[in-house]
Amino acid sequence: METRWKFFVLEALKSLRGNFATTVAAVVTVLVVMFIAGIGIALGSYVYNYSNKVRDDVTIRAYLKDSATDKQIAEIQRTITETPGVQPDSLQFISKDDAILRLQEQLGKDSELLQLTLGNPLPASFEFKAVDPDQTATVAKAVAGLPGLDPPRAGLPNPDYGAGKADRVLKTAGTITLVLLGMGVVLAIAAVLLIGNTIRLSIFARRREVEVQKLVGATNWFVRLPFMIEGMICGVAGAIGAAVLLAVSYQTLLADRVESAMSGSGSPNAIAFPLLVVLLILAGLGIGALGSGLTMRRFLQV
Amino acid sequence: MLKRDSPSEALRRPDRLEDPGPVQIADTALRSEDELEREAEERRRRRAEALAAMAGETSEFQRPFAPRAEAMILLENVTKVYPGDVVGLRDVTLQIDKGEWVFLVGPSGSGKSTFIKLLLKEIDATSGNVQVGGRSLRTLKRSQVPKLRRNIGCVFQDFKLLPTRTVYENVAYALEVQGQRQEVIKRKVPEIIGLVGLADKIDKLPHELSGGQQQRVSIARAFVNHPPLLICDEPTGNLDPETSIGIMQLLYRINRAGTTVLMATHDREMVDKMRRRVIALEEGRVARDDRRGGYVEEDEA
Repeated sequence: METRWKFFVLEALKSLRGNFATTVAAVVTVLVVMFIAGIGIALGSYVYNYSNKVRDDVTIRAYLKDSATDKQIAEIQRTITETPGVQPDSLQFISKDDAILRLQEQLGKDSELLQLTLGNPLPASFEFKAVDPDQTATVAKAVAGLPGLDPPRAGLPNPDYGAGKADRVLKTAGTITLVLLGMGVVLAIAAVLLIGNTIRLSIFARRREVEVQKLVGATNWFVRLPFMIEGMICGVAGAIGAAVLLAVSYQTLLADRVESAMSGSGSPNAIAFPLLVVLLILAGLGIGALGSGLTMRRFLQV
Repeated sequence: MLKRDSPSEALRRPDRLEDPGPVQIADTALRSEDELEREAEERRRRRAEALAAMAGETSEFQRPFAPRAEAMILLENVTKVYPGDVVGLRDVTLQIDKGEWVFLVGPSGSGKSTFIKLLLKEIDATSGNVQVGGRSLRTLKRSQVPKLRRNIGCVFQDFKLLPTRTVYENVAYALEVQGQRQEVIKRKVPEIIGLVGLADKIDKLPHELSGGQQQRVSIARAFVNHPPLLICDEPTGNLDPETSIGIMQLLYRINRAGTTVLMATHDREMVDKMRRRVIALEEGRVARDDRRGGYVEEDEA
């Protein structure tokens, strides 16, 4: 069996060399498609991770009245911890002092403004997250209206989870993902047609050869396998070329800007490059094998 | 009944079937008309002799049709209609025995190609029964077709060699498709190439060879499996008369070794001189089936 495979691979290599022009055409086609696909996958994964991070970061804040008693505060804390769907370790009590310190930090140099206020205008609050970000609104509602909580006012809901902001980000991310998906589908169709066409040309150029092979008693698989191996070699070569091109263009065009903008541990990442390369190579293998295998079918009806 | 030799023995035997010898073509301009005429006459004579030497040996009487055990090819009421009501064969019934040599003659469109394609199961009969080597092709599964073809050697007018492969690789391919081991291939291929007289061309590509040499390669490929049946579709159609003789002698030796040979041809001289069984097709029907016939019906000639 081992010599069988050696024979098929040798056959494939021989005809790759013998049909150099078609080989180049096929490889370049795969390369272009894979390059665009690579950009799409990287961009898509970045948007996906970013929107996930926004979702995960949605925090519910329940503001307390300044007049809330310790008993009321303890009661509120108990209600929050017992509400199903709350991340237990996410609960945090922010005292009035913590709140003003945080604001000072956020304002930085402008924190002098705080000197202008009389005393501390910021309320104490509980901060917590829902286990499932989509359940945020439900969880928040469970806490609403407890005694000791600041009553909600127009434009200032309590508890507050930044409904507007998160929704907008998620909606935008959803749209971008959808657009990328659509582009991906169109690209995939174009790729299959383009690659299929290249393969068809190369097989058409050799249909007489296939006819002869069938006449001396070759089985369909015997004719097809070298073609499929050829397709796979072209696919992988194209994918590797695309990976190299992606790496080079990333390094020369984007690396500096991306690194400065995304330093820090919390920033979302795009898909890891090695994984992207593996994906592209697998796709190249699949397209090459399937494309040539399926296109072969009609030429085998001898 | 012919005496059968073992395949390689029959091919090697240096009997009266040697090549007609080298042909002088140089400095024709220097010779007189007479001389040229004499030489042409001489060539014709030698060719005729060579063909006559391959003539059938025993006079056989015409047997009434009855299926016999040793049938190589058996057609029973076979009709082939192509799409568009084009008729390839009409109700053809005939039998070709194992070891026979049969010429298939008839004008273009008379059904010769249809006949050959049916035997290779490139197409299926519309009705009737086709048997090759005792197996009915109607019930033969698609997946079994390659096996059928490995038992039928094919030689074509246009050689049908693989253009990017050397002589060796072309012949080896016929063994590789059956999954033969490399040791076997390395032993058998040079042997058969030697037998067809191309030992020194073994690493050449088809386009580097003459027509006659290419046809020898395709015969080597067809015969390397020692198939019981050899089908030739105008094997000498593209070759000059001198070269044709060499090819015919090669095929004759293969036939002597026991292989059934079915040859479609337009070569009148060849058919007339060799006096073998002739099946003449006309508009898809068997117009004539002579045990030792000529290219046309004797009365006409």
